[in-house]
Amino acid sequence: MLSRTADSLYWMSRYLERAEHTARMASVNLNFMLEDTTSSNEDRLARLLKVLYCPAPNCEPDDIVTILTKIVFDRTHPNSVLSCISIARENARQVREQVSTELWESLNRFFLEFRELSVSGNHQVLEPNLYKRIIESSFLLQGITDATLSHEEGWQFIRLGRFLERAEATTEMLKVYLQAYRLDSTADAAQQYLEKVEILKYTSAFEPYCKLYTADLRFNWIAEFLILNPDFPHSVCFSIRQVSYSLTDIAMNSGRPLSLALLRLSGKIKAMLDYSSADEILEIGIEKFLVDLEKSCAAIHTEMDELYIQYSIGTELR
Amino acid sequence: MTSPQNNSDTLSLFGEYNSHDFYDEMFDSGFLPREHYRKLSEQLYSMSAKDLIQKQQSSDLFFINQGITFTVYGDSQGTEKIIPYDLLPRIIKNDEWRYIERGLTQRMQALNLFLKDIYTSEKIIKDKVVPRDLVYSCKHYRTEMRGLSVPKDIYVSISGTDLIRDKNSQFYVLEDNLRVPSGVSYMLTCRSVMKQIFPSLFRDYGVLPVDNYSQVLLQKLKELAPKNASDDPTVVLLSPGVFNSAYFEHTFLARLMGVPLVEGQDLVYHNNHIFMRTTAGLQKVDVIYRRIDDDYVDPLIFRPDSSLGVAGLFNAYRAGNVNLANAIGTGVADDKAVYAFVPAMIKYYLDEDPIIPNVETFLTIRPDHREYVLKNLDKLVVKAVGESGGYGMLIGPHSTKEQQETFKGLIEKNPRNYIAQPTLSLSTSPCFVDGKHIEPRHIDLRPYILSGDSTTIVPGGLTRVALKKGSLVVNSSQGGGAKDTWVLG
Repeated sequence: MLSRTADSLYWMSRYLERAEHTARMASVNLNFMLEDTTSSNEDRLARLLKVLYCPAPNCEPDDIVTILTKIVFDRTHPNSVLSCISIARENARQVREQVSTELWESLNRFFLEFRELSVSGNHQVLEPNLYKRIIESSFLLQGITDATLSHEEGWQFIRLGRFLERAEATTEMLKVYLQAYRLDSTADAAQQYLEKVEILKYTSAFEPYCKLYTADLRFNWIAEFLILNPDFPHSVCFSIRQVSYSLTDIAMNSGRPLSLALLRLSGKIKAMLDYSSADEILEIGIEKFLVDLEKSCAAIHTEMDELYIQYSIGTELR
Repeated sequence: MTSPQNNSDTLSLFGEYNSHDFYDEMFDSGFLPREHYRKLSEQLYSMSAKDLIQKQQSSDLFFINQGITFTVYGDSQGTEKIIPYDLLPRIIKNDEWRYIERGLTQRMQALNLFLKDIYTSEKIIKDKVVPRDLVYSCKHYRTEMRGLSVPKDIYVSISGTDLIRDKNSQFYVLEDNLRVPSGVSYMLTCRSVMKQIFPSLFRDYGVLPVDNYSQVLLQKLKELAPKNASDDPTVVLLSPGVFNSAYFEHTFLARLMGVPLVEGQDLVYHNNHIFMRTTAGLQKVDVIYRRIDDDYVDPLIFRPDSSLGVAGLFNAYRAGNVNLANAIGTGVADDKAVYAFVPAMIKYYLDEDPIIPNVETFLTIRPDHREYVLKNLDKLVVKAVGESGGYGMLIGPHSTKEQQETFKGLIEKNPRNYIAQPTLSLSTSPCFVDGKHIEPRHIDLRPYILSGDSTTIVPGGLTRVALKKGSLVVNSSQGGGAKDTWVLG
């Protein structure tokens, strides 16, 4: 497979995942702003901007509409939902002959409809339905991808992109929110409960968590669930396992074996997640653990890119 | 079935059908359908405008869903449009087609010999059949190609030659497109649409298939593989990328041939070979079907500011390690002034008379011709020699005094750059317009000629329609549309 094709499929998928994650983060915050008492809208919006790597727009720090509009519709912000969908579509268009007609048509329609929405006024960013539609469209596209593409090399790059993005997103979310909420020990019980629910909802984890641990919400259990649970599809462990499987399959399909560095990286991070316990992580310090995770994810991307996409021609010809 | 006289709906469908004194493909001068159009006319007599609108809608939907679009340059709105498309097929009788086929095969033979000659021994110039100045002053003449031999002496693997038909139903060659002709995806997609919307009519007519085009193309490309390539050579299609107006066609052909669609950035030159970057490492490329112009192929040799091509490609080409279709420098043979000499080339190289004639052409570089042209600007069509796509044209009878003056100045300033031809009476064909009537519109025909070890022309082509009433410009970039072309078996 052409390297550029693999690259386009990978980024198409990463950006779709990012659009979905961004929509979910925004939607949960919107919802909590309705009932939140102590945490001010100002703090909440600042955290949201931070976790989404979004520069603050030029407005009052509690101007919900302007901030959400930037997060959702601002084309000059590369991680806004509209930018993400647009980049995903552009990537698909560049490898039009490689994606199925069903996938192309659906992604194209999603983009066209959403762009249409973006020009029809800002106040819809207060409508929960907007976010629901984005998330559902993302689910639809994932379903079409899995159902209509052969699960060969191209599809493996799509899977790799989706889960590497997801692992990073969940890690970053935990980093920002665990720090903010755990340190705030002054919060009363009801407030703390809401904060825990909020963290779980950022990855649609509330219901699956309750099934496993009951509705007894504890920070260390939440961390355990979101980091180490092997079965929940938004946990870091689950995502990294998928990354590791994709890499193995890409190596097999392309005929180019994984480099030592890549094998080491993905093996180490997978083992770390497979064999760590929550207590151990808390002992080392969850902060450091999350930072290490993020570094490993970034390193996997770099190594993969150097091995399959942007490899140096000099070494190749030697 | 109702006769046309008794059916008011039909009367209104063909209401004011009048092709004046042009040759109409469907009706003779007495408004009777020609023999080979009878089945189609019967079908149309039994239909109403509403039926046709329905068919139109379902075919539009087909195009939208598949994303069969092109880009119009100079349109700021932009980007993607569906090609305007007419529902009614253009039908060509088998004997007419055989004639076209023989004529075009002969022409391509002569043009390939001409290209070989002017880049090697220059016999035709020495024998003063074609003026030296004319060849050397052509902007598509590539000195880099001199003395270089191309595999099997095939310079033009893919060409699209535009034919028109005059009042007396005689076919003429209007121009040759020997560089990067496009539009073949429309020929193929129009056909798939027609099969869906006129299934039984299509079957009854016994239309010759065009679907094997991509297979034949792949075969001709593989035949171009360098001698040192493996039995199963690697063929790629080189596209300028997603912003090119014909990008849809590039993805379409790549998909049908099952070959990688590459861009310049995917290719790497090393040690006189071209490689593509794949996830499995660098892979040697043997044949490049390039859909970018000469100027952009290799920044080291041609335009240095171009990033569409591959630095070093020309070296690998010259070394015979990779082949290009079409060869570099073929544009010299489709220059509109060189065009005037094609009949002489046919005579010179093949010792035959041209089977399909040229349109009479005046070269403004010749003083006697120029004088005549400048006096008759209101009657002639003036064209810039190196342009294509209907740009840089003056259509005398449809022009203003001002435009004529502008062209007068242009011609006097640079006479080599222009030619003139009589205003042509392009034949007409019935088209369904405005969702109401069937009216005559001017058409031409572009068959695609594939040359390799032998020459193949799939029976059909792109019939281009000037959808604007009275217009003679059929280019898609100038508001032209397409029709399916049925060649009968």
